[in-house]
This record gives sequence, structure tokens and C-alpha cells, in this order.
Amino acid sequence: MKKTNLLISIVFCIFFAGMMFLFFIMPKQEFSQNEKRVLEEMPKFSLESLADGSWFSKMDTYFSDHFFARDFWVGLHSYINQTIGLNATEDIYKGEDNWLLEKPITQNSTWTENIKIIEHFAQNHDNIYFMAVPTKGYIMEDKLQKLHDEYPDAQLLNQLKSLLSEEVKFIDVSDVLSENSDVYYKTDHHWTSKGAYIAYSKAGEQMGFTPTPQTEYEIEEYDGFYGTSYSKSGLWATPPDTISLWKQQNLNVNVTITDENRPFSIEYDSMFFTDHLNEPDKYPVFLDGNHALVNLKSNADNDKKLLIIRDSFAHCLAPFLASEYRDIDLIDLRYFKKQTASELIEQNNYDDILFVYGLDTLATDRSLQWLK
Amino acid sequence: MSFASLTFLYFFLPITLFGYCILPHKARNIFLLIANIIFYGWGEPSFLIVILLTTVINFYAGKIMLSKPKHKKHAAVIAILIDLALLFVFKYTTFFLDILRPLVFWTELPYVEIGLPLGISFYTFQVLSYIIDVYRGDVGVQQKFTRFATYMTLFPQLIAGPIVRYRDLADQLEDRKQSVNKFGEGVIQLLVGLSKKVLLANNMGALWEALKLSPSTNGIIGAWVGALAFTLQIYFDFSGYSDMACGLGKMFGFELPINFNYPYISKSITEFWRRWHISLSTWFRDYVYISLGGSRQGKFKTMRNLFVVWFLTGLWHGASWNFVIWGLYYFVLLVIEKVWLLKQLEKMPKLINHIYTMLFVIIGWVIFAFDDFKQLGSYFKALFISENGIISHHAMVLCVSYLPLIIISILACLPLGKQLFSKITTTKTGSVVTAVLCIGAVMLCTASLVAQSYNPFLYFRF
Repeated sequence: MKKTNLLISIVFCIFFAGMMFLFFIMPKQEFSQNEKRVLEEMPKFSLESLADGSWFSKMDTYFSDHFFARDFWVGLHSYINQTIGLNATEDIYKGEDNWLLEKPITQNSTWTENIKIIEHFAQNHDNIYFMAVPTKGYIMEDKLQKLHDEYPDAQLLNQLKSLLSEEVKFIDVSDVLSENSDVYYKTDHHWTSKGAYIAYSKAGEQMGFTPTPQTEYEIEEYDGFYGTSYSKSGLWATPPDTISLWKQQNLNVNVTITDENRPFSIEYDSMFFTDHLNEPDKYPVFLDGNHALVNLKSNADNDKKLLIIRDSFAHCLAPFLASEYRDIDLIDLRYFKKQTASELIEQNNYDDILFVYGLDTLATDRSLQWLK
Repeated sequence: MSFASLTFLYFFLPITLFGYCILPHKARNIFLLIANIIFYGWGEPSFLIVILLTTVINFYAGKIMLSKPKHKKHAAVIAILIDLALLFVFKYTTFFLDILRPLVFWTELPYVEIGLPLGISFYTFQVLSYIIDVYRGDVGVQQKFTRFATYMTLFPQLIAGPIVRYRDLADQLEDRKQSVNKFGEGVIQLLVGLSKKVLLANNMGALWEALKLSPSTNGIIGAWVGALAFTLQIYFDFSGYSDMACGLGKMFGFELPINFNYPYISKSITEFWRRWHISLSTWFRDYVYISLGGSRQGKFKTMRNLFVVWFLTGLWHGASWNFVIWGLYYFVLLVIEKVWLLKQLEKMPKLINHIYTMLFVIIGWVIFAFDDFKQLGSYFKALFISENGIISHHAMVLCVSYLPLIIISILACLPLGKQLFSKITTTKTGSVVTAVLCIGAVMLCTASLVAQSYNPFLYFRF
């Protein structure tokens, strides 16, 4: 017993002192790629922050944010939980063939409020199309382990359809997505370019255009895409996805990005912001990610104008629609606040208005309250 | 600061231990006192004033009791009243205002929100033990402020017990021996406690949180698994914390009394309370039950004394009616056992005794869990009336997922682990196996702590 206690004492001292030493000598990262957030800086010491306790809580965050080999520990925890059988209690389920799938949406009052807002908006405007993208877990359910919570997507989509049927034309992409493979990324919650293309083709049936055949696109592929599902899961050994850009030879598009906190707009001559291909999360390659207002002016063979009210699922879809509409505005209600959508519609004569939302945004995001 | 936090384990503890070990014996108490104050003040520095004020008042009360024998009683009574008043003001004001408002039609009674100083229930009871023991002549007066303040704020047991009586620590405050042997034992105990808290209690807590939300929809099995999860959570949470306290104490050379002795293997409620939160039961026995005359003044007075003790035990756990009911629930059970049931239980098979005990303990924890009677009512309904079948799909997913951890937790309630461990240590490779187990535990706990920033400890607010 004495020998054991000596050994334990030595091991303990080396381990804990070592970890502390490593914390102090290692350079501090400013940004966590996996968490997509700025890490806590060393808090400034002041008597006020000491008295109200904020200095201490910031110190706690600072310690844990810069803990030695933080990602390793997070990963270890995720893999332990997998081993002990807790897969079905995690935010991200691990499925077969390295699929990482978001757990089902939990419904709350936001869902019904959002539907009401959209209904009210639709009553005052014409030519509205609505595309709700089901969640990855629902479409890829056969890749899941048997034990998991039920996906309410079918029920939610039906509810949407029946409640909005009078005011909007509902584009149901659920079936066509289910019938095809590779429509979602394994490590990201978004759909792939192929998924978006399928949705675009389906939209053509109702919006009245003939979709460009798949053969007209030149497809460029890029490896090493680690998306949001990957970051959330902590399952670091999951292999990356391939992201593909579908480019149409004769289509030229000028992109103008306007944000409310930037005094000037950014202009770009392509819908693909290839700088983002150097990052682990490559999805912002489409239209540079989230912005308040994005305008696409193309050389399409008509002068139709389209307004897309959207979340990030539209970033990948809009490039396909650019060949059907000469002028497209995309607004993101999370950031577009200086004007209302109705005011924008009054200034521009849009031929069509298209909503593109992931079902989970509709069920959980409160930014739709800005839709007026 | 919580023991189960990275700040404590990887910064506060190594630095404090290092400083403590390199200093000469004379300087150790003052160093420990400073460390205690940092530990206590971390997060809520404003409440330092309350604990330090309590320390000063009781220290001088003790001195007066020694130097002015005439006023011994006065000093003791005044100190006790001040201590209880502070506890009452901070912990029970809101509760009593809520009771008074409808009773006396004082609708103008203010609604106040008073923050609860960390560990006030624990350190108040500790300091009362000092004053009462000094008054009774069971222990000498502490003449050195540093020693007394170190006792009052001793960080291993400051926030969640065990409630160490002053007389148990009096000698150790003066002189205590650190040794490698003790240190090693302390490390093991610390890691056992940490694992109980981080690996078992937190997971059982997550299961309970998920199942308690809508008990009626979970089905009858869902409701019982939820109650079981809470039963396991509260045990591992609390006993884990006590283990960590004892382990840390040993690392600094202190010997703290054990607080939990496998309560869930009890064969009766009477036995359960001899094994659960021993330091609290002992305190109530020594300073309330015996002060009131104990069981030596006839049946009626014994009953009254028991009632008072269990009413106060309930109230000590929180300023809410459900805690009082929980205490009185045990009063009723213990009286029934004392008068009749214990003798019957002895004749019955052991298994029945265990089932009976755990059934009532689990029901007790359900009462403990809800301070909202509406929620409590609907949870009880879910336990006994199957409105929504046996188990819902969602509850089934949770129960099956957590099943391995539930089984591990139940096994960890038994003395099996300890027996196995003492066998391992006697083998040749025992040291290496123990070291590997310890490293494994540290890694699992660290991974869990890094992964979860959210880590509330259930007993902090009591």
C-alpha cells in the first residue's frame, strides 16, 4: 500500500503540475475553428470586476478555453459517450458510413408563431413560392442507428402545406431528395450542390422554367470539407466531405453584397468565393456565406426579377436560379433590418418571391419576426 | 469554486499544494487561510464579508466565554442567536415573508431577493458546534484567530460538507502530519469522488433533467427510471463531493470524518439515516435531539424531539415546503419503524427489506426534487397511474441509451468496488494497476469537464 501511495503521489504531481505548466507556456489561440467563436482573452484586472465577480467567471472561461489540448479532450469525451451507448442522447447522432446527423427538431411555440407571420405576409403579396428543406436526419434516416428520437419533419411539412396552401405555392422537395443519394453532406447540415440542383429542378415545375440539364454544368470538386455537424460532434476521426461547384459555361453573374454594418457594398464577378475553399468549413464558398442583402445580376435570357427570403440553404441553390432570373435579391432576416421586406418589394418589381428555409430554422429561429 | 472544475483541479489545487508543502509548519495555517479566502471568494466575493463577520463574532464570543466566566452563558446565547439570525436572513427571509403575507394580511410585505452565501448552512452548523461545545466544556477555547479562521473557512469542506465539528479538528489545527502515504490515499479518494461527481452524477442528472420535464407523457417506466436517475444523481453528487473533501483534507494533512457509508444498501430507513449524510445526522443528534432531552423523558417527549429534529432537518435542506414535508416524511417512517416495523422487518427476507427501503427512499427523493407542488403532484401521478402507457418512444430512447451507465451507477452504490480495489492493491502489480486506474479516471473526468462548461453542483445552494 505504501508503494502504491508513493507512486500515485508522484503520478498526480507530475500530471497536474505538467498540465498547468503546459497551459502557461503554450501560445494562446485567439479563435476556435471548431466552435466558430473568439476565445476568451485574459481578463483585465480591476477592482470593479473583482467585486462583482465577473473577473472570476472570465478567468474560468479563459482557463477552459485555452486548456491544453482542448480539442483532444472534447474528442475523447465524444468517443467515450459513443462507446458507453449515449449516441442517441447527443446533439449529433453518429450513423453508418460516417454520417453525422443532427438530432430531431424539438418543436416549441416559435414554429407556430413563424407560420402565422408567413401567413400574414403572404396574404399581402402575390406570386409567393415556399421551399422548406427537410432536415438531414429525416432524409437520411436509414443511415441512423435504430435507437433514436423520431423525426417530425413529415408532420411539420404537412402542417406547413395545409396552413399555407391558399396563400403560397408550396414546393415540396422532400420526396425528390429522398429518392436521390448524396444530397446532403455527411459532416454538414446543408444540402450538397446535387441536392440543391434537384430542388431547383423541382422548383421549375411550379415556377415555370425548364431547368438546365445536368450535362451543361462543369463540376469542380474540392476535398477536405469539415462542416458544422463535424464541429458539433467532436468525432474528430470522421473523414471530410467533398464539396462540388457546379459551374455553367455561359452564365456570367455579378454579385453585390450589402451589409448593414459596412458603409460600402462588395462586388464580385463570380458566385463562388473560392478563398473559402482554404478553410475547413467550405460552405461559405457559395455567395460568401451569410449576409443581409445579396444581389445577383446575370446574363440570363429574360428580364425576370426574383426575391429570395432565405437562410443559408439558399446560398447553394441561388446559383442555379441565376440562369432563370436576370436579377435576384436574397435577403436574410437575421441581418436585414434597416428596411422591411415589403418596402423592398415596393421599390422593386419582383416577378416572384421565393422562401427558402431549412425546417429547423423555421422551427427554432426567431428572426422571422422581422418579416413585415 | 467547485472541485469539479478545471480552474480548481489544474490551477488552484496544484498552486496551493505547492505553496503549502514548501512553507514551514508555522506559516501553513496562514497560507491555508489565504487560499481558503480565494477559494471562497472566487465567483461571489461579496459574501466573503458574511463568513468573515461570522468568524470574527464567534472567535471573540469564545474568548469572552473563557475570560469572563460570569458572562459565559450570555456570550454563548448571543453568538448562537447571531449565527442563526444570519442563516435565517439569508436563507429563509423570502420563504417566511411568503408564509406571513396571507396570514396577517400584510399585503405590503416586501418581495425580497436575497442571495444565498455559499455554504452558509454548512459553516453555520460548524461554528454552532464550536460555541456549544465550548459552553458545555467539551472543548477548549481557540485563542489564535488564524487557527479559528482556518477552521471556519477550510476549503475542502467549506461548501458542501462534511459538517466537521470543531472538536474533531481542534488538535489537527494545531499540529497535523502530512505524509506521502496519506497524500497518496488522499489523491485516490479525491479521484474517486471526482469520478462519482463528473462521470456518474452529471450523467444521471442529465437523464433526470430529460425525464422530469413532462412526466405524464413518459409512461410509468419512464417516470420510475427518472426517479431512479435522480436518486443516483443526488447520492453521487453529494457523496462524491464528500469524498473529494476527505481526499483533499488528507492531502493537506487533515483527517475528516466519513459522511456516507453506502446508504443504498440499507435494510431499513433507520439504517439509511445512519449511513446517509452522517455528519448532519450526528450534528442534529448532538446539538438538538440531546439538548431537548433525547429519549430519556418519556414517549411523548421523545416523539416531540424527533419531530423537531426532522422538521429542522427538512428545513435545513432548503427554504421550501417540500423539504419540510420530506423531513416529516422521514419522521413518520422512522417512528413507524421504531414502534413496530423494525421487528417485523427482521423476520422478513433481506431482499424485501432492501426493496422496501429503496422504494421509500426513491419516493422521498421525488418529494425532495420539486419545490413546485403542481409539478410534484403530476410526477407522483405519473409514477402510479399509467395514463400514457408503459413507456413513450422518447423515454425509451433515453432509458436504453443510459442503461449501461445506470447499471454502472447501481454497482457503484455497493461496496463491491472497494472490495475489488483492496484485492488489487495486495497483488504484485497492484501499484501499477492503481496508477493506471487513476490516470484513466483523471482523463475521463478532464475530458468531461472540458466538454461541458455547464456544471452546477446540486448542494451549493443549501
